[in-house]
Amino acid sequence: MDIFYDLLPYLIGLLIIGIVYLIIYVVREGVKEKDWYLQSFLSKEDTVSQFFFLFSVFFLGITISAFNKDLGDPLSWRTILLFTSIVGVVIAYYFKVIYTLTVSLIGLAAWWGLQAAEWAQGKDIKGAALFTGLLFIVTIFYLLGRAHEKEIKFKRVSIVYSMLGLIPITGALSTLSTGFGLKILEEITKGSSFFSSWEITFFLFVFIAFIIGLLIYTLNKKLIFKQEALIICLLTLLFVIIALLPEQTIFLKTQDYFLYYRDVDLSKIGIFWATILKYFSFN
Amino acid sequence: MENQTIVEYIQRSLTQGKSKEEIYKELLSQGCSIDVIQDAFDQIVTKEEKEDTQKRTIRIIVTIGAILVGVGIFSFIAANWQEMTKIMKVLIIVIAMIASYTGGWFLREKWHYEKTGEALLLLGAIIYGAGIFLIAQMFHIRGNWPDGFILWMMGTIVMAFAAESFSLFYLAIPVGIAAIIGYPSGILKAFGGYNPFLLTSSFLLLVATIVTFIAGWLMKKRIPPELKEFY
Repeated sequence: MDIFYDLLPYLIGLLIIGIVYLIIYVVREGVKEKDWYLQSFLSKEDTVSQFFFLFSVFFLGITISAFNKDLGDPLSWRTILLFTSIVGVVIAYYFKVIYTLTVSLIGLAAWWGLQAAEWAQGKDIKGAALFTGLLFIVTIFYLLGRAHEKEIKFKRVSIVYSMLGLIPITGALSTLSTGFGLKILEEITKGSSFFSSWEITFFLFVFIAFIIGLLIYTLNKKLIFKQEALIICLLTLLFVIIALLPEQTIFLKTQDYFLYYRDVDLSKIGIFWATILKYFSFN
Repeated sequence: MENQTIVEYIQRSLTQGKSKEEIYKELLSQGCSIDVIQDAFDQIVTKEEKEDTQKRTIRIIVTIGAILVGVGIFSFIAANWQEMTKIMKVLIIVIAMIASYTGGWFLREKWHYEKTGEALLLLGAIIYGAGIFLIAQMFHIRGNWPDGFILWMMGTIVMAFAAESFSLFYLAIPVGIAAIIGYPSGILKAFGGYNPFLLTSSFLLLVATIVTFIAGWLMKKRIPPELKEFY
């Protein structure tokens, strides 16, 4: 589980890069004259109101934390994060404020990652389960982005979901296909199965059910191409396989003069995974 | 027709709202050549540019002068700040703030100097914010520094609604960001045993949540009707 905490700064960094990319994309790229309404700010009033709603959500979280401290910490900070994120999503949907939505969705994903790490404490559950759970969440975001595309008032919401789905998946696959990423894959497959924790198992099955449900919905409404749906199915399958993998020896090891093991070259399994991950990251 | 007469005729016609094409047609029908007409138009443009340059120069000199006077006043106050009594300091801050707001309002609403008026309203809000921290320092008020930014943000929001000034809303945004950044860094230290909320009123945070939510809601209601379909 330590590997998860070691990876957390990189995951957060990826998310921040994703948000910046989202902002740049929405503001500058692909916004043609007829699509002007897809800009992040439509008017001065919209600019100001988006920021103030975002502040209100942040202050809500801080206020609950302060009252929590005054009352002797009855709630964990993860619960406060979850509650604040849910309120943020509700506000974002009601008022169509995309920055609050972005931050709230990231908050929800962060809650799951942190809470799952808490559930895995003491049970030595492999990090692959948490990694897969997060990938399921961003896949759900991508499908929700497609599902929201129909109505004009949800177009900007759709872009937020799509970007929050696309960028982490692309980033994760690209990272995993590198030497560093393969090393991470080797580490996160160490440990016991996620079935040791009923909470993690429950959520992973719920996520899979959501993905299947959203795929069926978007295919029925013709909001997604068949090839796209197939790729999402294959990706989901890949993520499931990663979660169920036994410990992998991706790198051949040798003992050096100081009796430390160091990686020499890819094993057969390592070559297999490198090929699969390179294929998915390029496609 | 003499050149000067043509220039005056063109100026009169432009003031009456006639287009360039109409003026050209009229002068051509009176026997003027295209070169003469074009020359007259060029003279008018050159004259206007000179006047604009003069006005701009005067504006720059006056602005520099105002800044230097302002710097002089601030230098005088700063040099004598330690010797002033607390009452005097508070009075200077309050009077400067009220003078800025009042001047800004008069300039904008009564004399229609919108940009200068907005600038003074902004100055008033900045003096308000600076005043919060100065008064806290003068009276040794113990508190978390993000609280000062929250108070500054809330006061600026209220003033922005009262004065209908977007520049004040735009000021409130980075001030709010400063307040928000301040709290998590304190909360992170909580893992080391430090209580980030020891000196903070929880009710101030609750009020900040409510004020920012209401501000966002009220601004949302003001969105132009033609954009309503996107919400």
